[in-house]
Amino acid sequence: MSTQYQPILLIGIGSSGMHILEQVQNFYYEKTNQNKPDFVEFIYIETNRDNHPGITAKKNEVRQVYISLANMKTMIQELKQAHGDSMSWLPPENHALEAGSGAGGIPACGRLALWGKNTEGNNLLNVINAVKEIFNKVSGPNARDSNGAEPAVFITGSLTGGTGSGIFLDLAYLVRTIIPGIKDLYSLLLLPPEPDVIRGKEVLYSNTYGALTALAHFNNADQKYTAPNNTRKVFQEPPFELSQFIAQSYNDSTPQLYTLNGLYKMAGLYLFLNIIGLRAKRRERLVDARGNMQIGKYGTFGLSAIQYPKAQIQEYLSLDLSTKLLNRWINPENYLDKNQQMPIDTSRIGREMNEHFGQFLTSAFDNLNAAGGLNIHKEIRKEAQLIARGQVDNVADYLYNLYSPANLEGYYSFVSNNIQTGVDSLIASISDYVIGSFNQYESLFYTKMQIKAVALSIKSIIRYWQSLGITVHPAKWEHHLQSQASWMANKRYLLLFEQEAVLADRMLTTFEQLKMHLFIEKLIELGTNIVKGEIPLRTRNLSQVYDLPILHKIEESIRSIHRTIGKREDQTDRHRRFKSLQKRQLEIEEDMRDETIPILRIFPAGSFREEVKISADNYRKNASRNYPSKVTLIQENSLWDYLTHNTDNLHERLYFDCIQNFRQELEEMDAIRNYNVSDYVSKYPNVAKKYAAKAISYLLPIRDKILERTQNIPKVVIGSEKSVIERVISLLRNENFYEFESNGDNILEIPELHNIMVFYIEQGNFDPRVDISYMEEVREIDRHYPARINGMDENKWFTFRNPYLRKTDWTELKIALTLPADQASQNGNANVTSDDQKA
Amino acid sequence: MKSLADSLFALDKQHTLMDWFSSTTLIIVLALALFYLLYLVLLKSSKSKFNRDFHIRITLLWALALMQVVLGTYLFFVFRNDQVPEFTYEKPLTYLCFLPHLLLYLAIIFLFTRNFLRLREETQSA
Repeated sequence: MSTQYQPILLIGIGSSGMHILEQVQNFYYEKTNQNKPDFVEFIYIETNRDNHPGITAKKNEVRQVYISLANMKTMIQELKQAHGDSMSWLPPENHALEAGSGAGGIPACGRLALWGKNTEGNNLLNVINAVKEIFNKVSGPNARDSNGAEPAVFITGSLTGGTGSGIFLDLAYLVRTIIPGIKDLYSLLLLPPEPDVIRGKEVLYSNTYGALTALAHFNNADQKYTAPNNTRKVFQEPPFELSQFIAQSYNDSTPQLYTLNGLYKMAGLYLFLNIIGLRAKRRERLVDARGNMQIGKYGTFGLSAIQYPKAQIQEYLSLDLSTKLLNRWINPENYLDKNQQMPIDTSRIGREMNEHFGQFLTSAFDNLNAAGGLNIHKEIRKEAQLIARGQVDNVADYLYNLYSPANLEGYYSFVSNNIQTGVDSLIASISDYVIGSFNQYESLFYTKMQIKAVALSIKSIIRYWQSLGITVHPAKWEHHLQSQASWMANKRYLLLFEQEAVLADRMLTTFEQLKMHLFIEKLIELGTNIVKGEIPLRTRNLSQVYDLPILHKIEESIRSIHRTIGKREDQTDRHRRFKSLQKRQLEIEEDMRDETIPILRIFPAGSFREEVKISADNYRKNASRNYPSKVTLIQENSLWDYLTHNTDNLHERLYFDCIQNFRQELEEMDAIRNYNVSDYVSKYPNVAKKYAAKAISYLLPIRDKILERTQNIPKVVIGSEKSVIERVISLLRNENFYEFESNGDNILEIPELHNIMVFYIEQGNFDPRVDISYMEEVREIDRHYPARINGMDENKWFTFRNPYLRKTDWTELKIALTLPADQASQNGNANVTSDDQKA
Repeated sequence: MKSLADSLFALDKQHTLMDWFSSTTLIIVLALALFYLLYLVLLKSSKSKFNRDFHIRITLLWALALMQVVLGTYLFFVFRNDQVPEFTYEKPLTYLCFLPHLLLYLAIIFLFTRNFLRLREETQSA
């Protein structure tokens, strides 16, 4: 990209705003391998905390500013108390509750979300801080590339819902407050498509109409805006320099965009083009157009493109690789050992674990031999020496006392006090072994079998100890100790001079039995934790923390992975909004099939599937491995820790991390190569003509009026090479398509813009409330509010839909629409007093 | 006509039954002393301090086996040097003479195996 740009702030409103910014980020990433340049900042203001944008290979740059609507009733009461009459637009508390958890499609509630505060935070302050922060980032002394130029701000979102139509005007004036004297403040607003029938969708259309009416009101130079919390600050300028509208329907017979996502894509492409140079080009033309009264306050555009969808191929392949990796982790039958598929052999795992568990236990018991500078083995040998030399009178009693729970300085207390050392050692050994295997084989089912084998080993060892007469009860131990004491005291092997050695050995054996007696309880605890526990037992060794591997964690991870892939869906609202890998793949496939978007997708290999296949082969070759591995996600870090620590929303984290990291890896390996679309256009000029012509159709259903395309209205062909663009324009002219001329005005060369060629034609000079085809019908709805809706009355309908206007303003604006222009103007002037409006 | 005892113990005027008993007692005492010595040497040469019970009992078997080898070697040299005059394969008495030795060998192998397995099991459980 070139070295100096005007800084741009993109502010999305609601989930539509978020989706549009997500598309901008996607386009930018696709062209530059970065999510955004330094001179651009993205934020979106959202009432739903769980809405997050999609993923590219780089860190997401579209930041959420959450405005909470929790406890609306209190929010309304507090605002009314603090600011009195200037908050009279607020809906009555009991009505507001009808909105449900979000703005509920009610603009008044959307506006409330901006101005209110609750236990989750001060929404207004959060928005102000976020806007100030991004403004400082692009305008401060450290901002790169911008050279201190004044920023341009684009506010984008949909006017159909409650959030967008509720806050878009306040937000514009908020930006004007934060950036005083700002000239380049624009909006790109989505409108609903031309409906077959409006009935049942009255709210969407009425919200749009209400928002457009309020916009028209403040576009009027006679009107003033004052913020509801500060009536001293008055704005006389219109909220936006230019408001652009697009909808899924075209102005002509072109079939409307099949999905809303298609519309987001067009909006995203428009904003992306503005970031990389179109805005400067448009600005030159718009100054002239404004001077000649050719554009007005409202605009729209036609946009078409020919694109090699590198980003979609990359994302699709990363989804494919992510699914393969996650399936590897949850394969119940096989696991991978040195790139070889091996069956999960339960009996072999059991045998191996049994063997290892014996070693772990021995090691744990050894840890109980010494503590606090005292070595029990040495002590026992000393005692045996004393007894063998005849220095102890009643040997059996003496020995009994050494091991008795009653003796607080005996071996029993010693082991009892240090038992946790042994338990810690056992947990660390099991954890090391099981988690080590998991990190090696990356198979949750293999590990599940291992953990089950640990539980079985514990069970069998306890059963065996019990068969020796060793139990958890101290009373039974004392009973057992009596027979042990007689056995130890029994003098044998005198003739062989082995009395001392045998005694020491027997004492050590009894000491081991003492450990077993005291360890049984801990083993039961460990076994229960492994099988039934939800929080693993934990131990620390110097700097390392060991968690006992438990079945619950495995099950939880398997469940989350199933949800990430899309094999299983949770029915709660929160999870329904979650996009699984399978769902996302279907979305991309659908997008690739969607021919209603005026973007021609070209595939040099023949088809999307073929492109993905070739890219997958490239990846395999470069990665030199047949199966995806955790290395892509977490390098050599512990997969166990990754899956089992912070398990809240693991499925979402997996989704994001997988896609992001695989995309990054694909990028690094250059698995999907750039394709210069100019080559394609040069080869197929007739296709170029067909798609260039699509730009003439603009995305707004204005049927009865022909918008003039004058010299000053921006129209441009955007590509990576000027010569190719000129050639394309010349070819188009040869094909009798004269919309573009080979002069500087119609050409925008952006050398880095590989993979796409764009045709853009802007339109203006219309009034959306009058010229859009369905507006007459919507006006009728507002005249006779939908009385069939339960509990609805005229006032409530008005209050919900029109937070910026009083009814008198509303009536005047209606009169202005229905009467001839000169009469309306007289009528309006007679009724409006300058301070009559409030907002 | 020689009595059965005369024939069995090869008694004549130079070799009385008393001589036979005294030489036999001497051999048994020497054998026992040798056995004890072997046992002690084997036991003390074992360095293991743990499972001493096991070692003592298992070493007994090793000592018995070794003793048998020593005795067998001794007998071999006795037979070779004295050149037993009536050592013929045709006579059943020859086999009767060797039978106790053979039985003892078999018994030791059997006992060794049985005790070894049992002791190993006991030790592991301890």
